[in-house]
Amino acid sequence: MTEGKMQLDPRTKLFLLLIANFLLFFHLGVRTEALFVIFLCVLLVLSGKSRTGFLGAVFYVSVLYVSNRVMAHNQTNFWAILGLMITFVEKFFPCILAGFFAFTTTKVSEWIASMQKLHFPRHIIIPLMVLFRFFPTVRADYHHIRNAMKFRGIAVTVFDVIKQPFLTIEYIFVPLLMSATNTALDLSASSLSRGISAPTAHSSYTNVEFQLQDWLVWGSILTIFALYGGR
Amino acid sequence: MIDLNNVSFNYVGEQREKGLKNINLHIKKGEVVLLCGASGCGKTTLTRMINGLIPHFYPGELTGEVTVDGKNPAKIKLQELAQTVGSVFQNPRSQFFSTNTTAEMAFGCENQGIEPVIIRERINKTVDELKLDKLMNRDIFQLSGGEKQKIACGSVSVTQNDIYVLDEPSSNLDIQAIEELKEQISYWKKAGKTIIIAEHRLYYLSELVDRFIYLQEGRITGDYRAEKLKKITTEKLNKMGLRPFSLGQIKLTAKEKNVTDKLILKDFHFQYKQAERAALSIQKLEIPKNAVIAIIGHNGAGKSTFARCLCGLEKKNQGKLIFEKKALDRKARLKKSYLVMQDVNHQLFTESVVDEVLLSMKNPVAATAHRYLEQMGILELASVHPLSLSGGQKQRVAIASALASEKELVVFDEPTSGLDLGHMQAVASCLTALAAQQKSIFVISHDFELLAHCCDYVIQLEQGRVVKQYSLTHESFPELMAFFRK
Repeated sequence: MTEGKMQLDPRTKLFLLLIANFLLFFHLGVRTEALFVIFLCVLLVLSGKSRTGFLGAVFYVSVLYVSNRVMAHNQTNFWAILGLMITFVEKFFPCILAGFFAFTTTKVSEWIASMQKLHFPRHIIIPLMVLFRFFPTVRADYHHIRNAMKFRGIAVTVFDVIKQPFLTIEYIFVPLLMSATNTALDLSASSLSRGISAPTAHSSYTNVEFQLQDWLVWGSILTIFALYGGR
Repeated sequence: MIDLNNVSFNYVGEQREKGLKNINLHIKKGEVVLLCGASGCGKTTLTRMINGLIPHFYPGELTGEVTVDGKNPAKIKLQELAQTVGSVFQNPRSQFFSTNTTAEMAFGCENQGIEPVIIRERINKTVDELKLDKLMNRDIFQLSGGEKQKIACGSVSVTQNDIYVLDEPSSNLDIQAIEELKEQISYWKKAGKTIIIAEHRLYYLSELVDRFIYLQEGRITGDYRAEKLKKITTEKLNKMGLRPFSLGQIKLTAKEKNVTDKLILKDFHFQYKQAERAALSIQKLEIPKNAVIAIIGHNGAGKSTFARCLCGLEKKNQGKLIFEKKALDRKARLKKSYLVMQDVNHQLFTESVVDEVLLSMKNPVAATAHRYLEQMGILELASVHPLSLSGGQKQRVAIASALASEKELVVFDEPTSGLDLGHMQAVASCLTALAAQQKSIFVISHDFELLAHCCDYVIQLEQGRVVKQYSLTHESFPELMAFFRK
């Protein structure tokens, strides 16, 4: 993508996301989790997301610190509830960070290319591509519709929305669906006329390949687990 | 290259596009053919026969014989035809499959299973030829309409088809983008491609076209060669319902009128987040009240920002509008104004046309609603679902709702994009009529002909500032023309 930034294979990012989920469900000790989070933060910094990387690390360390202090108080209901909440944040943070890393540093075309490499069938890849394509469209449509509603005096203020939530939803959905139907028709016509329906092998211009850094990431993660897993 | 022998087609189901009757058309290799005629004449249908979307995507009754590059589109698969025919469509927003420009350019070739090395070579070649380097590797959703259309042309160029089919490619483009589209087409022409264009705007194609096919109600009623084209008078074109071949032929038909009342805009400043300079910066602007005011300017000049601030959509805008001696702030302006959007689909909410109007009224009375519909000439559509209307009819419903809400400022964003002569004239007379009913009308438009038909006053923006403002008279008309003809 851009020079000076590390690029990982999307499959490596998926692997990191899986590990993060694994950590959520199987307790492998704070040390493993902390190492994993710090490792992720380093990867974020290397991939050009330095702000998130640093902030993430600082946030996580503070959460760990607060969590330790709170646990020391563990006597009354108040401290128990606070402790529960903090632990919740602590446990979910690796997943959120790994998810953020995977989805903000990967282009749609790279996901598609790796899915093709992993031999996902076309009838899974194409709907996913369309889905990715539709998010920004729906967002843009939504803003236009909200503006149009203001001119008609429908659900202008937050209070109006709270007063009539279902009506508001209806007024958003009718034009949204209308617009989405038109887009879908145009999009199908356009992609069919460009040969999307070809059953033979599709090639991929976007190159995704395991490189040295991918092997290093896999290696480091497995090493962390081998050394500290279970403790 | 393309042969249609006695071809007829009827769409199945409720299609707004009209069918074709007894079409005989033979297009030679390397010809540039322009298909024109009023909306619904069948020109879009004709392009669909050539790129195979008929009968593969739009089902219907097809008789006669179609041959494209020796093949019958109905008998082969669409992906096979995709290797011969490349298509560019009307709406730049909805013809993209990818979210990244480079990936989009590669898409057609990927579907053919071409080696990545070759795709890269072809993309580089196209980028050089069509000067697309600034647009590479960008998020498509961040591009302007003109830039999107450039990528659409680039993507079909990469597939290296022999035939290009363009369906109203200039509809959503501004004058600069149309100029660039013209360059792309002329590049293909030089490369010996066969090009078929269905279009309302004729002026940008007059030097490129070899042949001109005129359709009426699904039949070909005129077939002119380039030499003969120049002899067609503007009056004849008008009778045929076609836009002029040259912007120079457009005459001022808006009636001059004396307006004494004024609207005054004060402190209209606006800057987008992370932008280097202000998108809009107007200290004070005096404009006539109850007139049709054109907002012109190139892409990024601040026209849309101006409209959004005027209507009170931008919360950060602190500007005031002096209206009948009252200073209106943002919220007050929002109550007084109405924006007719370019995509009218976004502003229709109900199940029938009359409900749409009633929704806008402070005291919903059916009789009054019907009067507004009558005024817009859509009374007979009162109980119809807005979804089943044509684009022009939807626009009229939106205007009727504006009337019903008794708003005094009505802003139109590109009201005539993709409209033929007849519909454009209808919009023009509608705008004039609105101004006569004590409404101040603002029109953002790239349609010089529309402005010549109905405009009283012109505001030209550049980099968020008003660089010119004048009443549109016979004396100042050449100035407006100069803007559009550069």
